Amino acid sequence: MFTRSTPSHRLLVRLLVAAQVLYVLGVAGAGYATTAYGQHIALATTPVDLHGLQYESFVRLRYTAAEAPLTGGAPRHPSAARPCTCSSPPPPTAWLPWPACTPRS
Amino acid sequence: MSRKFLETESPAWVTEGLITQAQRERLLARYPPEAVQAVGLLPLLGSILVGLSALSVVAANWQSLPTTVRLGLLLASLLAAYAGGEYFLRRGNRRLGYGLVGLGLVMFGVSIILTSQLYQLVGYDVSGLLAWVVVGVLLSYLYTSQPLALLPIVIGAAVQTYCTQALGLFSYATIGLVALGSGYRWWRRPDTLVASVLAVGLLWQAALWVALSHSKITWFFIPAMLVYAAGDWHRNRPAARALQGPPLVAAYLFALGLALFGETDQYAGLLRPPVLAYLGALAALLALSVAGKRQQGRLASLPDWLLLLPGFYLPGGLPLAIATLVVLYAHAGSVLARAHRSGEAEQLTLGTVLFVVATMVAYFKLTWAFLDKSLFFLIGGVLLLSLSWYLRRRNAQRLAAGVATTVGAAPAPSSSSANGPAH
Repeated sequence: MFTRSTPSHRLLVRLLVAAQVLYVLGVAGAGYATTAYGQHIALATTPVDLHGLQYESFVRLRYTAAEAPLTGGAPRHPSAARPCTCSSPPPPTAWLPWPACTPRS
Repeated sequence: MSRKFLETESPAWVTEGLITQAQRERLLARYPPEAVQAVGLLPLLGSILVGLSALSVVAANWQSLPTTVRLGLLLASLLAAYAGGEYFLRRGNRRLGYGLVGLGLVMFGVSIILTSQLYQLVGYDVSGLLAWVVVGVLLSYLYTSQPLALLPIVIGAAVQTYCTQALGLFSYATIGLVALGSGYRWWRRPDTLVASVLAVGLLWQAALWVALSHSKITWFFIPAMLVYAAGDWHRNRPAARALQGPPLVAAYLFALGLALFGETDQYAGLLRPPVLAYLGALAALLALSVAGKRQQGRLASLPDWLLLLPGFYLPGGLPLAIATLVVLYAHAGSVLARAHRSGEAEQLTLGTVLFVVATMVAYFKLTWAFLDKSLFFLIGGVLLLSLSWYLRRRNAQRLAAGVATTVGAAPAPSSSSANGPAH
């Protein structure tokens, strides 16, 4: 169990670390590009129900677009599932690494 | 053997004439008191505290920092961890060096998650985190360190958990990377701990797949026994057994559950996959396993497969429970028989425990309804006591006989008298 500290090994380590830095920069670039070149979709929220504050420390935001009409709604198509920016803040209940702002419907 | 043990026991050795007083002092000098080591931990604790304070300062002000500063902080800590790791590895401080390299790998995952959060990127598949697993597997090939071999397995399990729970997708790439990447590394550098963690990680991912796809839970045993069969082909026996441990434990718990709850047809109905497909896959794995066992000369462990007998195809009810009990007894008996042949004390203990568990399950299963409660516990206790007495006696005899045959003629009397109480 010895570290092979040969030049080629060191080069491989450096390449791998450089690839990681580039990848993180790529994620940042993708995010920047989405903001700069992406299509802005403004989502209107429904009036907030403040009664929930009596029981919880947060309010639930609902988007009007989330409630599809029963008839004559536009069909969902896969391109709607692309990354997007949202002008309205993400729902405060979101805890996932990617805040779920849903552009799907 | 600890220093304390040496200090308390060695005066008796001197009085018995095993060692002289001078030898005792040399032995004590060879193992210095551990107070020195405890003091050596202080810098580590101090640096952990300093690190935590820095972390909490950053975390508290994270939202108010400008985007570029946040990105810069992430990348700087990533680079610092790797550079520090390389520095300490070159200085020869391997533990700290590998620790820092591992920290760098963790920082990479944290950077991916926080950067995508920074720009409010929405992930609809696992591709963002897959890079983490890829880098982890590659790093484990670059360094010959056990913790760095464990990290990609754990990261793979975590990524798969996130993917199935949050995104509702199963990432075949992740399980493939762990199985082939970490698996091949283990194959080249066998290690018992890595083997166990690898098997547990793969079984965890297989269980997530079963849960996500709403398959019959018995399908879980196809990937599990694939892991088991892979162990059969490996030359290194301890490492192979460590890999086979988790699948066997899973199969045993399943058989135990079948014996306990198999009576209700509703439970058994949850377990029945299509006969031809399931039995075909299982038979193929059995053939693979038998071929491996034959090649490595380990056909004695073939009764492990008894646990996989698909008894759940029987109609539910008492016949199923009894058939499973028979299988449990046969398995425990096979472990005991193998242990008696090889004379391994641990195998003997394991076989005894399995036998006692099977007996307890059978007893609970078959007599709870018929006996008065107090009589039930009384007979059960007496049964267990007599069983333990009998098995202990047998084990002692067998081990004594094993020692006598392996050691040879000269020291045999002392060894048999050492194990004497059985007679």
